[in-house]
Amino acid sequence: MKYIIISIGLLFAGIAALNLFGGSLVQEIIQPVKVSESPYNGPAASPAAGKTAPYFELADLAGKKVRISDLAGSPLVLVFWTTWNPAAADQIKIIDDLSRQTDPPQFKIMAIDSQEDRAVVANFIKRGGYQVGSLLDENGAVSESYKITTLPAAYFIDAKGFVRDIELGTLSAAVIVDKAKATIGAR
Amino acid sequence: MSLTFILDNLRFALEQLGALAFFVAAWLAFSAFRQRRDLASGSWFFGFALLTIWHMMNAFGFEADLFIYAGYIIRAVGLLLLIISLSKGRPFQGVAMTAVLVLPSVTKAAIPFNIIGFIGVSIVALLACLRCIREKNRVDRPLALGFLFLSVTELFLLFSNQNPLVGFWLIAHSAEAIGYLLLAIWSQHYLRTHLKEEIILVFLTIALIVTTIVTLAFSTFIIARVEADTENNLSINAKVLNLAIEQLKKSALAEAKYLSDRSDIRSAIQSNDFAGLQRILSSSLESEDLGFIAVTGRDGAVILRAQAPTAKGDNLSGERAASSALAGNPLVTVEFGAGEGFSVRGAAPVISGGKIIGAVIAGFPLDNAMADNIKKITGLEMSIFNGSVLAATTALNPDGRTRDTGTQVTDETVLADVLRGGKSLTADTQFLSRAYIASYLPLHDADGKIVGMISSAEPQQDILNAAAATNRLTFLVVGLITLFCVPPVYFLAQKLLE
Repeated sequence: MKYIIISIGLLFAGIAALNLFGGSLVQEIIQPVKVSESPYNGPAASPAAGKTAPYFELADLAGKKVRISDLAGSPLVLVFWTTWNPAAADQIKIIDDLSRQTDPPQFKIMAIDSQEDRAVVANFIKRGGYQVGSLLDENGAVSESYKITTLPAAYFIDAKGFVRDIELGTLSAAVIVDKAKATIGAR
Repeated sequence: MSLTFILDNLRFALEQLGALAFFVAAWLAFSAFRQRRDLASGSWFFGFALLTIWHMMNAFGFEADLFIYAGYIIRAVGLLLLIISLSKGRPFQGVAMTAVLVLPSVTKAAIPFNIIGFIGVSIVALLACLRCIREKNRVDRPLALGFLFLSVTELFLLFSNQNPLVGFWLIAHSAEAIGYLLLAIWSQHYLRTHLKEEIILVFLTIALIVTTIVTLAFSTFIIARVEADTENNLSINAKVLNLAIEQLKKSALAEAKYLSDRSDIRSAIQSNDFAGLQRILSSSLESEDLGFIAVTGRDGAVILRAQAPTAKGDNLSGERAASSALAGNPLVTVEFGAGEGFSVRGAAPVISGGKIIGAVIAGFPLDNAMADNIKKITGLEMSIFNGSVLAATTALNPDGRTRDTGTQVTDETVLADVLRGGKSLTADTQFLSRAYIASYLPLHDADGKIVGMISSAEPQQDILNAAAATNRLTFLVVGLITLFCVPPVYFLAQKLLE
């Protein structure tokens, strides 16, 4: 009889200990379900994770020039997209919703439209009522330097300008936040 | 009130019945354990006690992963203890237990734990049957049969989804009800010789029944109101969305007329100044807040599109708006075209010297971006259908990153009433195997023909979650009040027996 009581006691003690001290082990059972999100995982050929993000200077929709150095100092999520790609367009909605949250995330988000006319991009952003900032890579040079072959593509860059992660395909808000937070903690 | 809600409430009542049946068995087992104090009686008691706890947790339907996970473990341990107790006649070698170091996520654990549940209940049923046969014991037959029915329940639940309207769900829960009744019959036999326990258990049973009835009655009333309000709100939402589309139609026609009257556009068409025309249209696309602008020649061939300068040369004379404009009649309609997609479009002729030299088609694609903007203004979730095919929606799938555009409505009631019948409809419906309460309105073109639908919907799960929360709170409050009466009954029973 005492063995039963000891066994049950150990079982509940184990669950309690995992809950209190299990850290990342217990994280998995209390996080929402994450569906395997993109058919590609892992870094593109170049720039590989761990290297400095390529420099760029692009105009936003108002014509103001924005450099990547202007976005340094906090983790950055760069999302490459285009209006004619439905998955990429959905990504804009997701990062727009994220940027509107009352509890702002500890990272910046910037979209870069790849090889489209300013009027087309401005029209799409206006029609959707999206407020997320978007830069225009009209000639595709920046997309080339980041070796973008699939849209949408997300680059997770830490505060010092190093690429920490690259994800291809549409990402949910939860995944973007998780990966951006991992970037914050990366050394 | 929806059948889904009624069946969910029945499930709640059934789980309470199960908890009561196992509680009675646990109480009787406790009496035996107090006297014998051995492995068999102890594991019998703890097994039934853990299963009682599991049934209560299952009834309340908490959604937190940790809670669900704890429930799985409690149930597995409870079944294991019953198995240990029933196999007490065989040499007991002890069970090698491996410490759990890494716990997978609940959805990954659900399938193996559900299979463990089925196997565990089946083993208990088998051992109980063998004991009845071996000991020629007719008293324990209801116990064996009860667990047999519960194993049938587990088997069917493995293959059913959570939709209560599916056959397997109904069969499983019917078998579950029979199983609990058999367990109660089995417990009742032993209660005949335990008068004090019988008095207290009768009181507890009555208290539980009263609590369950009050809980269900209260939540039924509340949720009926919630459902009615939800349906009413959805109907209003759909009308608001329809109004938004009517405004888009007015705007599209006004813009098409304005652009077709512009002298710079007229001159650019006449002089074949495509570069100039592109500059004007690009500027107008942004300044006039339009979704697209297309200019055609007299024959209907596209000269230029502002939103896609390289997409030209196709002929729009087969489309209703363009053909009407080329005939000299401005028109606004909702239609699908290869170039502009499913859209609200206004068209007006470009006239020079009394002759029609082309047409301007201006409008708004009925796409996800437009739906997102309307949601930002109104706060309403909406969907737009091109025929029966979902053209645009604000709702993301449970994966949080995709939308179901391109999928088809298969609900025959919706297709018959709205798409073919032209009526508005607010009802329970299914879309991609998910249950919703939705309100639909038909979308008409310029000729009054139905070309699509707009809808506003709420997942039924939201209402069921509200019902579960109401049940939990009501049950807790009423149950606590009732339990205050237990000590007086206990002491009264004690005095009666003295």
